[in-house]
Amino acid sequence: MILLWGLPGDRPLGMVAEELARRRCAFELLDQRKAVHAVVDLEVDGEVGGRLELGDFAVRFEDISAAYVRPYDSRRLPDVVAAGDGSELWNRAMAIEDILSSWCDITPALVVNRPWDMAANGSKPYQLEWIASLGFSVPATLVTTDPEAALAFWECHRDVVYKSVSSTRSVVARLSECEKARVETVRWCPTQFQAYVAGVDYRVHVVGDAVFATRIVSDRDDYRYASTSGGITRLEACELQTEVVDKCREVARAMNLHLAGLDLRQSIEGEWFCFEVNPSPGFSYYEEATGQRISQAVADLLLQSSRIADKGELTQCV
Amino acid sequence: MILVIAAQDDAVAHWLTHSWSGDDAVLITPSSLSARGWQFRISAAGEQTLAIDEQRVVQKSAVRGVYTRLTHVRETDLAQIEAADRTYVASEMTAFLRGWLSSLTCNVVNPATSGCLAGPYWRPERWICAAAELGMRVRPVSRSVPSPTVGEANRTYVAVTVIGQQWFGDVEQSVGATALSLARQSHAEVLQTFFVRDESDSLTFVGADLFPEFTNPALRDALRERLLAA
Repeated sequence: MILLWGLPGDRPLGMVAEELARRRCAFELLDQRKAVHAVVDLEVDGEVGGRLELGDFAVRFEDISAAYVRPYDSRRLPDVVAAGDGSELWNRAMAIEDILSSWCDITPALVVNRPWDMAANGSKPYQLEWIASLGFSVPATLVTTDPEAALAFWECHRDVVYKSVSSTRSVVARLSECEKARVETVRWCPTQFQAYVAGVDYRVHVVGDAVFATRIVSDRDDYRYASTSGGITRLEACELQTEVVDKCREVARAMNLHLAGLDLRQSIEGEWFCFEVNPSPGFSYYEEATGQRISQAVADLLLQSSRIADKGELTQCV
Repeated sequence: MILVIAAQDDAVAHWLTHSWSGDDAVLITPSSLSARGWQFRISAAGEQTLAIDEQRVVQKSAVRGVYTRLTHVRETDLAQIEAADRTYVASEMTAFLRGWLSSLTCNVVNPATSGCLAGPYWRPERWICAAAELGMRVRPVSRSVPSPTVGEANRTYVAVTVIGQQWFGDVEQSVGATALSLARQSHAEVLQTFFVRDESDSLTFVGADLFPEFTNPALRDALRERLLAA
């Protein structure tokens, strides 16, 4: 049996669910909003067992052979927010999220991806050093609380971007003259600066051994936000050199990620930089723009590890 | 120089730092990350420095050993930051420390992991799985929602603490050796393991913790030795 865990409105999760349904494969989509009312038992004595029940849906953990998990922060679910911090529902939601996360980390089932492995993305410098050790170039980076050092770094590299150090989403922006005065504020919290690398952006999705490369043409520094600032972004499916493809696979494998979204840039000089590896990529954005069959590849991966036959029972979403 | 990275309210960290004052031990707390002078570079030439406080900035190369007792930076550790910004700053400081600790080439105990600044901060279930894989007798662990209301009877635990390649505890050699194996498997240099003794006088593994109490001065000395090892 295949378990999907997250929000039904989440496009990547929804696309994988549609693909599994199209193939008439047995799977269950555990709606995170309803899961706060589930009954969960996790029992570990060397073997990992237990049960998950919600309404008419009941599954033994040992019967799950693969899982695709994209849970959101339970504290931000509307019902949990309404109930308030420390409320019974809040405690229940946190406990269920923690138990399911624990199961994801220890089950012998294939999990795309295990929470422990995804956590590396919580620190960009930590991940950047890892990426560099695996052979990709990484941009010159300074994380500092020293305003003079930040200014000197800017002086040295001329063109510099700043971005969050953690996985907190931030708009990547170039440092401009009018922000010079604000540099003084870095002394309160380590702030990350990177030398700007001019070139062409690529998003590469690695799904098991399958690799999907997308070229991104944008007139903004952060193409993800181009449309909100009047910019234009165009996505094109493309092929990359074997050497780069192999390196992408190697990075995903080293990080124990069955599904990964790598942010690459080929500099004007032809050097390949890797900025980040997203362990829970929103691949639907790229699939919808390019027609690349990423969700199919995820479904393939889940099915490969599944003991179910292709003509298993059709799912019910709970 | 030895760095002890901990929360301001960590009494053990203060005691260790004081005990090792002859080795120039200093306490780094989250508020130290709001001091001017940290420079952490990746793939970039230039100084690599850390700020002990506003008065003292040192080269990263001066650090011989780091003992981390902080799983992550908490919002409550950031009195110096405006309340509205604390969640973001705590997350940024945690991410910074994770990268910085991993970049060190000196002795770091415990090495930072993806999920924790202080090593393998595993849930109880994962410790049980890891111990069982090593062939240890384990006490099953279960968690439920809704949780049962019955409490566990008071038990007396037998602790075995691993520091580097040594173990400490009033147990047979074989038990100490398995505790050491568990520490190695989890890549922890400091690990306190707990057992219960059953009717047949056998020990059963029940869990592990990354933060020993250091009630025995021999533990403190072993840790110092590990931090200063060449």
